[in-house]
Amino acid sequence: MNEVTIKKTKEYVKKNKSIKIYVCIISILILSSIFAFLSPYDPTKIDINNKLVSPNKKHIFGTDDLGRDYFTRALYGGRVSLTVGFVSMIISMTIGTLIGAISGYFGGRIDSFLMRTVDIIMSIPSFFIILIINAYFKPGIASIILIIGLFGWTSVARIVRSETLTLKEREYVLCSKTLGGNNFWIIFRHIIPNILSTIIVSSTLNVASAILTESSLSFLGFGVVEPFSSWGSMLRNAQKYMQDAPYLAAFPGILILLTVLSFNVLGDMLRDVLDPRNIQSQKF
Amino acid sequence: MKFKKILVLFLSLILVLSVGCGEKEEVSTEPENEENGTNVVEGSEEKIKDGGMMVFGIGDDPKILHPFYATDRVTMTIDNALFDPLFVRDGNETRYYLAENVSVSEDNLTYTVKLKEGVKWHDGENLTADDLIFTLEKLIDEKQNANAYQNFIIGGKPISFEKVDDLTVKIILPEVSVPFIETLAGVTPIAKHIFEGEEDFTKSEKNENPIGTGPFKMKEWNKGESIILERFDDYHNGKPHLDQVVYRVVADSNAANVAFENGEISVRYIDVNEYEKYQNSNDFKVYGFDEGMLNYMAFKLNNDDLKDKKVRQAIAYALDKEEIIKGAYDSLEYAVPAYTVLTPQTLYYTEDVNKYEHNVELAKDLLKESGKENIKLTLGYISTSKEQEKEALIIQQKLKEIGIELELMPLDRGAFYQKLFEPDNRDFDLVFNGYIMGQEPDSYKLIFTKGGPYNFVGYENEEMDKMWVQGPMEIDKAKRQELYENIQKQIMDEMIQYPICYPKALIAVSGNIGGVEESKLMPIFIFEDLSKLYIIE
Amino acid sequence: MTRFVIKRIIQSIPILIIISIISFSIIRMAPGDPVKVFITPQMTYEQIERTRTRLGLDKPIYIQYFYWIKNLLKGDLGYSFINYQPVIKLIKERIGPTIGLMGISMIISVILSIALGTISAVYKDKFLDKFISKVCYIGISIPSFWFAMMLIYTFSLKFKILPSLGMRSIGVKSTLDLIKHGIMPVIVLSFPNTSILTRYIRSNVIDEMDENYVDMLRSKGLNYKRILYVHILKNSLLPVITILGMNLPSLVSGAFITESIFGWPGMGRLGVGSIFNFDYPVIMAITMLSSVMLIVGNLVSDICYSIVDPRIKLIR
Repeated sequence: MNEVTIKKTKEYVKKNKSIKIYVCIISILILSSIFAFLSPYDPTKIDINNKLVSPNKKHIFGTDDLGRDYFTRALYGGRVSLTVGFVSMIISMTIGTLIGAISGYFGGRIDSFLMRTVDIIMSIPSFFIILIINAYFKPGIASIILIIGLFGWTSVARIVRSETLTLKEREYVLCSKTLGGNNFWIIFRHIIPNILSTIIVSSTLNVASAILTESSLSFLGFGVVEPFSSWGSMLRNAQKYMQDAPYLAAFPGILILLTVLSFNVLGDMLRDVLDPRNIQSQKF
Repeated sequence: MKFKKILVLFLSLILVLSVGCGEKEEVSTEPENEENGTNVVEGSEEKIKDGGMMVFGIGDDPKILHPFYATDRVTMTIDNALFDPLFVRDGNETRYYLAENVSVSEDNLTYTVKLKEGVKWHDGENLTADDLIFTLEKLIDEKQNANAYQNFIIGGKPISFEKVDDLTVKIILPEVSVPFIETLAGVTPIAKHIFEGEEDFTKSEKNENPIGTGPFKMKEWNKGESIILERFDDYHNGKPHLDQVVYRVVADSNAANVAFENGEISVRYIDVNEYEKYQNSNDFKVYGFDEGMLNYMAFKLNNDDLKDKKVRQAIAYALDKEEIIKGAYDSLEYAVPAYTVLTPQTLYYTEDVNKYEHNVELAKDLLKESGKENIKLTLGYISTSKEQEKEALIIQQKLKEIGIELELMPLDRGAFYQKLFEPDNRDFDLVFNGYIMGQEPDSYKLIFTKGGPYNFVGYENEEMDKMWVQGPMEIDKAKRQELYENIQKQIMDEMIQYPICYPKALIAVSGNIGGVEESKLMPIFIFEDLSKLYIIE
Repeated sequence: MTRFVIKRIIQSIPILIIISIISFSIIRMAPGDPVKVFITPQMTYEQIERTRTRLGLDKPIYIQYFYWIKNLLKGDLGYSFINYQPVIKLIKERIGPTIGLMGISMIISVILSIALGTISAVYKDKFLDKFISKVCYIGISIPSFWFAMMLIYTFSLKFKILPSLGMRSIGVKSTLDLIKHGIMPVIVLSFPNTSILTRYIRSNVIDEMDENYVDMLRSKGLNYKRILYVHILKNSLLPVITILGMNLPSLVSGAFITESIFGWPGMGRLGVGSIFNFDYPVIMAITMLSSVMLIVGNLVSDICYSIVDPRIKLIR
């Protein structure tokens, strides 16, 4: 981080004090899902006699319909949701950056082929994704990560491509080229490091959308398999007890909202601080 | 049992419902509240008010509203309101609808059906023997491919029939078939004047506006939204009380729940928790009835470990049936432990089989004998079924005790059935399923004989297949009984499937709906005779 | 202009063909057999095979594809495997409610976001702006199904003022009834879209306000409000057009989760239902329809761009 960035960050934080809160939320969530095992309860321990207990001192989030401690399940659920968010982000960022950079750097036929592919993938209606999961995947964490990762890279590729297009005309890239540098070496040495800020901002926003997608898919029953849970699958389960135990629906929902919200705010902060160009289109 | 005697029922299939559990001796018509003394208005105090409507929640639109092609719960339910069958067999009782009587000849080859006089179709035409003849002709017409087609082909030959007079039809079988009476009960006449000349019934426009003989006729069909039926004044069993019966599409179970509590839906399948809740409410009435359903866990024999009978038996001994039921259904009140593959309503049901009482030591010994180690299995079930999920979690813990690792694989309904019937599917080795096969033991052969359409576990046993073939041809009752009892004993000894329970179907009805007992509670479509339901004044 | 449109249409044909081949293969090669969805225990092997033949599933995939595309060119989308109705008819029945729901949500989103975005930009960094931007953050972060659940819990269960289910009450055909049923689904669908659009419009208006021409117009003595409404807003609407263009397919594909939670009889439920039932012809029809809509959406937004901002030429 250079001095300008640090200064900018300080200014930003001064102007938007609430950002601290969101950073805190993310840190707490990450830490608590890492240290979820410290909870005195076993998230899969069934206790039929103690089911649907409202939140109290012993069970601060109450218990679910099988008498499992809901707070502990929420912690482990957060672990799953965050893992899915991060891992699928890494997958889609890797694919998106590579394809975007190659497409922008080489141009011509390669570019138009790759961009048409992106067009086609983007035009696949979302219901079709459900079809693919339903037909080809076993429900589980690995599948859901793969699905989100494999469908989330297209917008990244577009942004990276347009950044690359401007970068490749820069003197040092041209210079490197005339000196006979290997194309891929140039991409990794000159292009990607220079669009790092774009990548960082995209990644942050990508985590947010991956977590949101995961929750929807789990809600539809394509996600994590019992006895494990994610926030989305907890909501799916809570649906049935809306009347008798609305807290079952409230807690995971609020957690998803807070997490996604925090990542979105953080992403915006990074955008303002790192100031990459073209990042606007990320939001499409 | 008005429509399809045989129906392999898939748990909480099309309607967004969860099914409860069953009490063995209870006849399907006896309402739960009589035993529990809940706050239901006594029949005599209820005042019948004609008019009003009743709303059913359905998971999706019915498929084809033609009685030949109903395969799912929703379609069957609505067909039941629109079309009447010839008669209904319920235990030893026979209730006649369109038929006045049915007589069987001494040699068991000729069935004479006499239709009621003055039965009208919804469009005002009379029901005659010609309609029945037309229906039978089309049922044995290969081109129409009716679901029940095969039931009318006996010993490789189709049945024949002839008109005796305007209301009487004689049906002649090519050879003796004891279960044919069940097939005949399932016949729902279709109108000749409507369908004559239609090339392909499935694609017929007429199915959009079906003409039947049932208590209610089609008024409006708003796709994806609702089907509104209105009272058929000329109904042969007397004018129905209700003005309208509405089937409302509610795709989401939570939405169904909310809509029921708001009074937007008047009847709903419920689970045990809801049963207990509504029991104490003045706004709702609850009923439980036996659906004649068995819930079980099947062993897929394409798994190498499960091919070994000892492993299957070990698993059976490792499980505690009562604990599973209590976990999933709260108490034994709502689900009766099952020890054999037939349901108690089925003829020749016997409990005189190996019951596999919970015995961990024996289970461990059996595993040791089998020589298998580090067994890892996967259990498939429908992800939306709460009961199955709870059962799965308990079984997972129990199998851990004898060193079997069980992975759970909840699947979406569609994917589940797809995989279930995929013979080579190795995604799961154990699987939950349920069925309603009716009271004729012969229908169970579809599950247990080689090549049977529902023999998805891949069980093969020549000796037993012979017994299954012999079953329907055996006229001597005592011999038939012995045959089917032996079959049950063998299946249990071989442990091809682990029967769990006979769940009771639980329903809740809005407090202002009366006549529930009179309408007869039935599997699949809840009310056998909708004309008997009314609004309490 | 006309040449451009024709050129684009011609260009999109190979894309559509590729999409159709890919989706056809994905669907047909999926492990699963539509015939099995509706067999009953009584059926024999021969009977099942007859059904298969009738559905045209006994032939190799490429021949099936060939038949499908041949019929498509004749305007025949085939029959549903599940209820044997013509696919066109099924879509006609469901597309109305979906277009209504999605269309109204879209219109509301656009109107609201233009208003909120402009307000936010004008009062930049003031309380109102901060408030709007907080609400927008929630809008882009809230899981729609959870939002729907909470609305139902509040308005249908607790206060009992809105119906939770369906598009209209049984037997009632009034507009008021329709509106009452539509309120919650429209809120759920338009909240995220409004938030996204508001954020764009805000930042665009702020950018435009810094542009030189604004100062120039002001120095010419033009009323500030007029500049804002006519010049700045016009240029700030470009992102709205793009987003609307990209959202066009949802007009025909619907929103599955919202539709099923609220029991709305739309295309989303038809589509997902057909997936679970392996109803290939319906799946293909919806896929193709929404692909066409996407291409149309992109085309329309490109044309709109050139109208709003003549600096952009219609070339690609």
